Amino acid sequence: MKSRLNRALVLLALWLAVLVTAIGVTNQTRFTADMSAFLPAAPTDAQRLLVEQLQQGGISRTFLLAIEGGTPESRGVASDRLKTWLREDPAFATVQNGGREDLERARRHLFAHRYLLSPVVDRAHFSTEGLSATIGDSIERLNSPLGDMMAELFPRDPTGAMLALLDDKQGDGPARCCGVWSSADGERTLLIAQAAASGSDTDALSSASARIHATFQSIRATMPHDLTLTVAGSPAFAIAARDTIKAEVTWFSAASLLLVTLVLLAAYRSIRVLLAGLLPVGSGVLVGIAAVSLGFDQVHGITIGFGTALMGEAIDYSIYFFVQSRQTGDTDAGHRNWARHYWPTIRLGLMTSLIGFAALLFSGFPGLMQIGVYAMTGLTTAALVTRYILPILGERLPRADIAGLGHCLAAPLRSMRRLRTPALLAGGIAVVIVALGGNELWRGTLSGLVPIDPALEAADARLRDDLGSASPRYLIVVNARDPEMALQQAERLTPILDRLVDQGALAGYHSPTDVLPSKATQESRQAALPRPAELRRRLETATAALPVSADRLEGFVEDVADQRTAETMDLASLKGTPLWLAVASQLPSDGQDSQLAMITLREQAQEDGLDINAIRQAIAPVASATLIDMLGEANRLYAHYLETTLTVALMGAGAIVLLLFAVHRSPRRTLRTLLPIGLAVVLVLAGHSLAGGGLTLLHLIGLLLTVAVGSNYALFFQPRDRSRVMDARTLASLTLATTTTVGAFGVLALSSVPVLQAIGTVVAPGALSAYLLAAIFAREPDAEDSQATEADS
Amino acid sequence: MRHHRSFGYFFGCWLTLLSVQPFAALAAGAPSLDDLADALAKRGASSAEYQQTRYLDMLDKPLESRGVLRYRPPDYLVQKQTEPHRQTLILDGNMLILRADGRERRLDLADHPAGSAIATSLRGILNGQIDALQEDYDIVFQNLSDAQWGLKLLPRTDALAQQIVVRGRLEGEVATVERVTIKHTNGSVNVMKITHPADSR
Repeated sequence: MKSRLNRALVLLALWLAVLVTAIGVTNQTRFTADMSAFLPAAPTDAQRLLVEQLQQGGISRTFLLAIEGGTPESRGVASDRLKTWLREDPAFATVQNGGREDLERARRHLFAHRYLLSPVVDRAHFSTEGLSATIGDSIERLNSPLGDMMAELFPRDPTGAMLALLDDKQGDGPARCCGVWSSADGERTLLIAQAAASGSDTDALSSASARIHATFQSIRATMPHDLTLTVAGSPAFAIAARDTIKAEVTWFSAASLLLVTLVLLAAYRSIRVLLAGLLPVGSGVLVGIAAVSLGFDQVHGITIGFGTALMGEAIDYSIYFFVQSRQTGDTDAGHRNWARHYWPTIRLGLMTSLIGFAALLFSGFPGLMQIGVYAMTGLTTAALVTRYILPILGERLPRADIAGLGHCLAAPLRSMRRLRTPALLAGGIAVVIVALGGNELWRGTLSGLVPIDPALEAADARLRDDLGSASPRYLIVVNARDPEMALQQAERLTPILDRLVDQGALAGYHSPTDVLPSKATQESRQAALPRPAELRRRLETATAALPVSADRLEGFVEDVADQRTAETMDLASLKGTPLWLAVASQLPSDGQDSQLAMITLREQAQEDGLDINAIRQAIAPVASATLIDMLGEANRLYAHYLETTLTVALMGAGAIVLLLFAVHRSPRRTLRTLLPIGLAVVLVLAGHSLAGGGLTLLHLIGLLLTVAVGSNYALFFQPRDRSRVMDARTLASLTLATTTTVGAFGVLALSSVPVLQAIGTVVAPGALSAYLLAAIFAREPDAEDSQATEADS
Repeated sequence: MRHHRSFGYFFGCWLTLLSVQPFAALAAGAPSLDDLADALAKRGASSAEYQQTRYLDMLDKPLESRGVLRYRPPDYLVQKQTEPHRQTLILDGNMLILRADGRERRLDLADHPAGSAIATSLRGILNGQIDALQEDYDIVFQNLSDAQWGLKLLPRTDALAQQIVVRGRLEGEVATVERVTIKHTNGSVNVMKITHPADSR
């Protein structure tokens, strides 16, 4: 007795110590709601870049803004004011609205550096023949309908370097109205605001978004017209998704919890038992969070929300314990009896669950890996607490006997055995449906992992269209040690890409070197510029046959002399012009020893994607260059993970079969245990196939959970010990467990968050089918009366 | 991106278009500026050939070009140059579009406030709304001898051109513009001569 007491004290002390530690760790934990945790961790460089760009790249922190309503003038004024005010806000790195003075600043920058920027500048361009030809061309341009505009530039830029620069490199950009960017129809003025925070810092983005709205409100108050603001862009999606997830995780978890509590309260009819029953789950949650927190940088909100639902199975454990251990009048004996006869079944169920959840660890999605770690540690903890702590605490707990429920259900469930043939038949049909569904069943794209508000999506597409900044699908990325090397590598690609454009393989491209050539190139262009005296001499000869005399071009000589000895440009020198935003976002750096330069490619309008292989081949001479098809890469990446997870899931299933076989030591019994689970999985798949398919990785995870939960039911319906056929209390506890599981996950099925919804729509019907099928295929009792005998003992 | 200030020139060119249509209102007696405005307000779509000579300060000899001008009320104007190079310039509302060498360049007048002021004003002439014109220009209306009339526009603000002179002819019920001269502040002078197809007289 004393040793037992000691043992109990040691166990309690150990449990409390673990809990205190877990609470300590949890307190230090950083929680996040960044949905990119549910983007796959990427193995290849290209994929890593893709995920990084999605997480932190310029796009991920760039808001697209539109102002509508009022008059064109008021929209223009509001756009300018919003820009001015937001620029003073440190939350924003840059704000652009295509305003006149910004464009003017950019133009001045380009003009002041035209001989360092223009690809036409070389020795030939400044030779006597070159000057003669280009000045002749410029004079012809003076005679075009816009000739008088050209005339402004001519004295300082008689060779047309500025025009070549503008024509070659500047796209048309967004439409304009009222002096700022606008939609093509002029109904909306447009702005771009890039937050200073990282794209994965959703909190900071959210506060930046709030600043935009607040600033606009105060501007609107000063305007005579009623204007409205639309905020879109990647951060808007991230914020909306985060908010939806936060709200839904909270509400649906609360609803699940409430439902489970009510069911348990109805069953136990004792608040103390109910609370004691929550101890395994509570311990599991704490230890789970602590484990995730130790293994990962931060714990995702979804991990917790999802875990609450997951704990449906952990609640089952305490249900089994409280209901099943009440087999005899003597609590102590009841506990021992439970530990001897029921714990092994639960332990086996736990092991199958752990195998199922282990598949999550291989999914490659950090978010799902977290859930895997969380589920495995949480469930193990809950099971251990049920096994070792509840018996100690449980001695004093009163509890309701729900054997009555079991008795009531015994007859109908027994009669369900007649449904074996129909059940098998249904299973067969389901297999056919799934087989015919084929590829339709699984969705091969990454989309649909995150909740997306269709209205926001439409607004975003509209603004991107207006801005002419469709998210680039094709990128060439070069990787180098420093910005200069990256720019030089990018420049090596320029002639190759020009050739591809000429051949019609590309519609165009946009390289950071358009606006910021490498220092080496700038210096070589400077070296091609003749000294003033020499230039004057050449001009004299070059203009001999032209209707212009060299002494009228003194401004040109001055500018060439200035730029010949000017400081070369770097990224910092672009600050304050709209050029900076474009170039900086194309030169992402990890801040250490890796510098990327990204060149975006434009495909021909009517074509369905680029000829990837031809372009890969063309750029092969530049070793550090990689062509990335962002869309294709994302889909391939996702397909890869789906495949991996399917494989791992199948291996998990295999491991479960082996485990059951090892325990049962009978192929027949193993098959009997597996049959209800397998049928449940097939039925759920068939149901989804009929409902249109589109299953994602998340549904697969749901299936794993179904297998984990269902295996418990099947095991209880196929007791180990042939003499101990299913008794009323076990039946009652299983029914209760099923009710809580189906209830909790059924609620999740109503969520609009794909992660939650997917799991809900798979686990709720899956668990219910597993339960019913386990009953249908339950083992026949040896004697007709054995059940009654068991129940009354 | 590009920013230029010499808008006066091509609006001047287009101004000539207003002359292409019959000025019925001018038929009775010596026409006044109001008569001209009334006539302009009733104009329909029109078309004429032009020949242009540019005297540029920085060049030793003038540049010659020719083509076709078209106007459609209220604010659509096309200058289609056929020589020496095929190029088309279109003013459509507030957008200025140049089509040349298979390429299209667009400018928003709003980015060029001064140019926009002129465009609004000249559009005022084409629409017959001379009031708008008088905010930006001092206007001298002249009845010259031999059925000729003239319109001298002297910019009041931020001079884009020193002077725009429009000359036209009034014969019976038909008024035409025959010449537009723009003197730029930088000393350049554009002279556009308009030839009216026989059927539009």
